[in-house]
Amino acid sequence: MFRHYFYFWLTFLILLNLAPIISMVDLEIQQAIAISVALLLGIPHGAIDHVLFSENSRMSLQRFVILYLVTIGMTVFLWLVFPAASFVGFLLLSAYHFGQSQFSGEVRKSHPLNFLLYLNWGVTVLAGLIYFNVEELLFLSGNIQDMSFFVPVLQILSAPHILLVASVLTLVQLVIYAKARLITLEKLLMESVIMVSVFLLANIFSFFIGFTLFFVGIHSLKMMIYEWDHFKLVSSKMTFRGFLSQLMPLTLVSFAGIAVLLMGVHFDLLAISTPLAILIVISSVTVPHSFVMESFFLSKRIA
Amino acid sequence: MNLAEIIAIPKDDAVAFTFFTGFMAMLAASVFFFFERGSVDGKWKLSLLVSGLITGIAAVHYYYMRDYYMVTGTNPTALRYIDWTLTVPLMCVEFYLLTKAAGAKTSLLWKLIFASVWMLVTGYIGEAFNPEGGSTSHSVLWGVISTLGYLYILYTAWFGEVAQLAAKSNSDAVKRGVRTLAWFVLVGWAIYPIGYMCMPGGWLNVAFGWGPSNVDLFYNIADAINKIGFGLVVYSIAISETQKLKAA
Repeated sequence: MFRHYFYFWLTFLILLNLAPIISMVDLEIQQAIAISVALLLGIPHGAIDHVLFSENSRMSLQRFVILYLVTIGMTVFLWLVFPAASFVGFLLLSAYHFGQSQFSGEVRKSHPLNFLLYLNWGVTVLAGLIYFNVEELLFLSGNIQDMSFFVPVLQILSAPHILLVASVLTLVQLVIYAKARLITLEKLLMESVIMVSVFLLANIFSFFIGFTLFFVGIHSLKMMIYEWDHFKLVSSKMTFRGFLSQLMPLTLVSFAGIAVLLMGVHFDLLAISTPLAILIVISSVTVPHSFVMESFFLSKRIA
Repeated sequence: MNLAEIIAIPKDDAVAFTFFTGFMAMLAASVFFFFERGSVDGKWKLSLLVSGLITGIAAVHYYYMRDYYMVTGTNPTALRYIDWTLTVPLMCVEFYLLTKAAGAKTSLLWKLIFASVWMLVTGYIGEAFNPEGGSTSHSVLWGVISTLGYLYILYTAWFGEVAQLAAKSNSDAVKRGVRTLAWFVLVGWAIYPIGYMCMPGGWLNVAFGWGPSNVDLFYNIADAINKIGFGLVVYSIAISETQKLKAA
């Protein structure tokens, strides 16, 4: 078990005990707290992309930043023109990215079918979170005018057979991988425990609490620990403070950008609802981050 | 009440069924561990004795609990916790005995015993002293306090002293065995909080209406898996180490 799984378990069990009290808290407050925590602890894990990318590329920092910003701009553009397609694309890309980081360094060799495992694992997690909270999500998107396009997409994604097929395919592939010694038996068991935990999370808590706990506890924390270990390996002089100073600039820039955007929405300078604005922000940073991580994992031959 | 009424098991009563099978399984496991003490090397005899004691103590309690349940139809909370207060610290003793050869100190033993007693006593307060009708705040407060004890044991088994000592051990069987026991703590012991949350005022009780009968079902299944499974892991380590010694 990775150490971050323990922190996930710790938070999960404490929240599980507190579930009766949490369920009494107004849903909007739950959403606000969950999104704040997800952004606060989630953004730093992608704020080091420029450093990771520069290790395997001769591209200048300036060019990288321009490319990164162009990708963000294009993602925002796609969201504004094709919101439903962008939403589906975002979910699929996120699913792949979650799966890839979940298995990075733990599948013993590159295999053409690895990408299927990553995608299925991520779809299982996201489909579970949506399936168990579909009423909440439909209520939320149905009540916000510029998010009504979510309704048909969510209705399709919450179909039980999507969750069932993705879970079964993931488990079957994991069993085959364990049999072929591509992953350890312990990894297979741990993944099963994590899948059950995520379903429990999704079932017990509201979507945003469940997603945040998964996103921070399973994904972001693992990536940050992974990045920290990587930098320690590259430079033995790397200190934790040095690592934080690498993370800080882009984290602060991102927070400032989000604050400006939210103020723009709040003061009606942008004709868009706050939830959609947050989703577009998350999506627009996820796209370039996923590509950077793909390139990083491939360069380390652990994808 | 006559004996015929006491031992009749309704066909649809899974709780009664698991009380009976639990009792027999624990008793059989005890006999097995006590008899098998003779087949292992001297340094493993104490571990097998403890395994036999764990299932033996549980068997006695199950004997009383099944009757209590059959007569009253209610869950035997006090008997359950008396059983756990004796057997769970003994499971922690197993961790100490397994890692003793790698340098485990008695302070580890006492820390684990303290954490397990903490977990159980606070859990008992949460379950047994819940006000009439079930108080959510009472259930939540003592549930959180009890969980801290569980988390300490979980941490120690996976990353703390026990895990570090097992990693230092020269024996692969001990390394594998300690890791398997850590899995029991992670997955097997996690069933107990589910039972706790079925009590009046608990989350599963409030949200899904699961009640004390579900508690006993969860507890009976968990007990059988954890106690007998724990003992079997220790037994397999002892046998494998004994065979290694004989071959040397």
